[in-house]
Amino acid sequence: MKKNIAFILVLALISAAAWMSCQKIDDPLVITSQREFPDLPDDTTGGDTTVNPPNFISTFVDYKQVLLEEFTGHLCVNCPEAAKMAHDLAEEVDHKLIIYAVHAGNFAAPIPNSALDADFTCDVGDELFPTFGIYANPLALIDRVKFNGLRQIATGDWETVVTDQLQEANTVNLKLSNTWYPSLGAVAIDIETTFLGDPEGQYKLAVYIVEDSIVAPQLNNNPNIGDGGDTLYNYVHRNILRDAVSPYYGDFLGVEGNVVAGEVYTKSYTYPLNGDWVTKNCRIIAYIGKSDPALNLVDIVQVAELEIKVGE
Amino acid sequence: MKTLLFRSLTILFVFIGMAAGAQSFLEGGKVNGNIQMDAQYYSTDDKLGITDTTLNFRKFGMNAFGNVNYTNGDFSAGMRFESYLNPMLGFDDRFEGTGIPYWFAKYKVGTLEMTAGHFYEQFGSGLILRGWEEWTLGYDNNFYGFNAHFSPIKGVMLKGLVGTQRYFWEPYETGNRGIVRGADGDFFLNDMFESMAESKTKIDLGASFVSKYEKVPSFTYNIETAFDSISDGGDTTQWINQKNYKLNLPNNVASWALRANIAHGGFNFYGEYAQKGADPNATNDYIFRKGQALYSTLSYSTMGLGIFLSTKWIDNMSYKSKLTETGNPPMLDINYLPAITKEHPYSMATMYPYATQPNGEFGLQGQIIYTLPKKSALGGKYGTTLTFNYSLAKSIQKDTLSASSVTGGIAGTDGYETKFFSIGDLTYYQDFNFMIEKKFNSKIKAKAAYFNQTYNKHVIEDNLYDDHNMVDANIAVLDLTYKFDRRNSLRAELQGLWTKEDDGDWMALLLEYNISPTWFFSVQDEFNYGNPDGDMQVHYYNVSFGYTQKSNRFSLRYGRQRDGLLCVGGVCRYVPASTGFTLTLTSSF
Repeated sequence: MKKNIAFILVLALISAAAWMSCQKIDDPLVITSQREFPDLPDDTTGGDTTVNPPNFISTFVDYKQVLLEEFTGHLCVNCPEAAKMAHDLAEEVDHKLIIYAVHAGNFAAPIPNSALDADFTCDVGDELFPTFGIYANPLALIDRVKFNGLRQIATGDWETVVTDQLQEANTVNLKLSNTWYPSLGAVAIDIETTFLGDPEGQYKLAVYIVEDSIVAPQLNNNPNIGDGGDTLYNYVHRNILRDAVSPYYGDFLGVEGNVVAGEVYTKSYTYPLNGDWVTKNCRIIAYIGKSDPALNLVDIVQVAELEIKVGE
Repeated sequence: MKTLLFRSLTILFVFIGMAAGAQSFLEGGKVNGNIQMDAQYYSTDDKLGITDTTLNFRKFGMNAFGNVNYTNGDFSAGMRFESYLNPMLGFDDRFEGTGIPYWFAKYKVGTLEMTAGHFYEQFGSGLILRGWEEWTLGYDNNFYGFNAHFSPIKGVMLKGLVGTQRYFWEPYETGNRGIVRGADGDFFLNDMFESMAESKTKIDLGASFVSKYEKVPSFTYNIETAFDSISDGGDTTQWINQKNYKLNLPNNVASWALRANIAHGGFNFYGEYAQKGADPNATNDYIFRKGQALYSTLSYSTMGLGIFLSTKWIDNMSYKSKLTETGNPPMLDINYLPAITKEHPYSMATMYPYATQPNGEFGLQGQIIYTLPKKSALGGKYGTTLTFNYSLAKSIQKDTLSASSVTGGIAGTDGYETKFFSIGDLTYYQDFNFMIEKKFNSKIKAKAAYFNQTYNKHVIEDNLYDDHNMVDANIAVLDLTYKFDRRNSLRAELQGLWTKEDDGDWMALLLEYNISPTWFFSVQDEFNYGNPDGDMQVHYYNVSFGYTQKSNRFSLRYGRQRDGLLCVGGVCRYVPASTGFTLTLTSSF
């Protein structure tokens, strides 16, 4: 009889869980972010469209580059070593490896009234961290591909995956250019993409802004980095993710992401920089990947990085 | 898929190992199973526009399954092995491959029955949960997880399950589909209460709850508005305010249903009402409206007379364990919305079948079967059976709400308003049919039937909710069987379909010679003589024979298959036109 009662209780609990597992949706559409930026900023070429404005800069990538999204935090003692390894690897491969650091999760939390009070988290980082199931630091997404069945890749496998990805044939050429408008404090970004074949799936373009060379304290356990201390007070943080210029998971290229070979797809964005950031250290990173119903944007096929030109 | 196969085989080997390690486990055990193989060899056919390119150079298709079940007392285990090499025409390419999509181990101790692995389950009529498989449709939404049945006292059956659903060969991963949880209680009052044990009125009540959890995708929208700012120096700058929105999709969608079955004498009443929480999905264009459904049947039977009435009203009840799944082919359905149109055995009468419309429909069916008594003036020596059947499916009334300013469509809104049990103006389907079955003497048996069908081709085939492509068809069938002796018989089927719409008029003739129980031979022709396109006035001919040896059955057919919808229980699959050989082999042990 006791068994029966226990079983009824278990079933009652399952029923209750099922009953309560209904989410009431008060607002079907929620605002995730909001920003204001100047429209078609007045450039300094006097209306002459045949010459580039003085603060124009451009890069063209017609070979496969790889994106490494490094999930890190200033409380993560193993992260400086991982970051160094990633950037050393980028040097080795002629900077065909593009890296940015996502400060999110518990290791990125600021500690008030301490040397580690800086907050390098941002909205897009807080979105990526749970979406891709980042369960520890340091972990990376490399082209958001799977390695041994997982997209979260541990440091020991970074070199292998980066090498594998670099051997992939280039499938899309990417031209990234930007113009800095000092009077408006805004950067205008133009992107042209051309697919070399008719790929399967739907493709999206995402554009992020990162800031390089931020000096701030970082916990550490590698005696060969910096002064080797437990806290590196003058640690140079590389390419910290600051914001998404496009929607977090990008904009569709072509019609709903369906692209055809040879067609040139263009996207333009204007982005006012936060006054607290050092403009000359900011970089634009644009990448193209496949749309995914659950993870939104995976399997990155191309990526480019470009600084902002603040003066002659 | 390799991982799935590997896992499945590992588990099976563990079971076999357990069995081998315990001799007593094998004692008294029984093994049975069955196999079916459907294979088609396709030919090109200029008349039907079938070329090597349209066939994608696949000259051969084969769908096959084999079930093996082991039973020993209260323990049973089994598996189904499937191959689609290549999938036959009309089956989704994603089925291509071989594997074990279904295996289970089940035991019963006392009144508790537990199943681990894959299982099929149904709560009530299935309005909020039904797992089922239909080979001819390529439909399989089995659950993979745990299922428990428990009867704490006589008359009470409690069920609980947690699982994920089959999606072709794709193993479950976080994000690629949801998890289904459900519980059901069934209470047969006449068994529960001694005072009702002898009552002629039998009452069975039930309640069920189902919830799905899913990691939802992100759908984002940008709205930009322009405004000007004037600097201290008087310069005007135009600015843009950009708001990024996302659809607040629910991770959990719950549903519940209450049901009652009351029987008294020849009367039987079944009624079930279900409600589903906000479930924006690809089928309903991401509206946040709740869903509801009502289904009921009433039947009465007595000597020589059977009356059956059923009705249903469905509003926004597509319920899948992946919200982006569109339903073609139908996969990951958690629930089943019963079809209440009659399924017919004759090819012309099934040319225009009904497919359930989960976003909203009203349905009604009535059937009377009356047998004129034997040896009466009209009944003749053997009696005559008359069947009248009428079914109707219509839209429900929907007052569409204004589009969302953010999404530009109904996504993100409640979509529409409706009143419970309202009936709309748009007819989806109507079928009136009448059949007489009469045995004239020990040699001759005849069936004659007439069907009048109204078929909304736009709604049923194209998801266009208008009446711009209605088909009104009249169909007549004469089915005669002549028995030469105890073993030999000849059956002839003459059918005609007349319509001014779609492909126009058809005639069909079937001759089937049976040498019971071993052989059958048949020839058939369906001739689309009224097709408005003269080139498509095609004979869809077929020649076939079959041979039965013990529980093995072979049949071979050569001919043309016309294109159309194949529906079972309101769930449909499009079958493209093809020409060639079809071999079917079934066997059981």
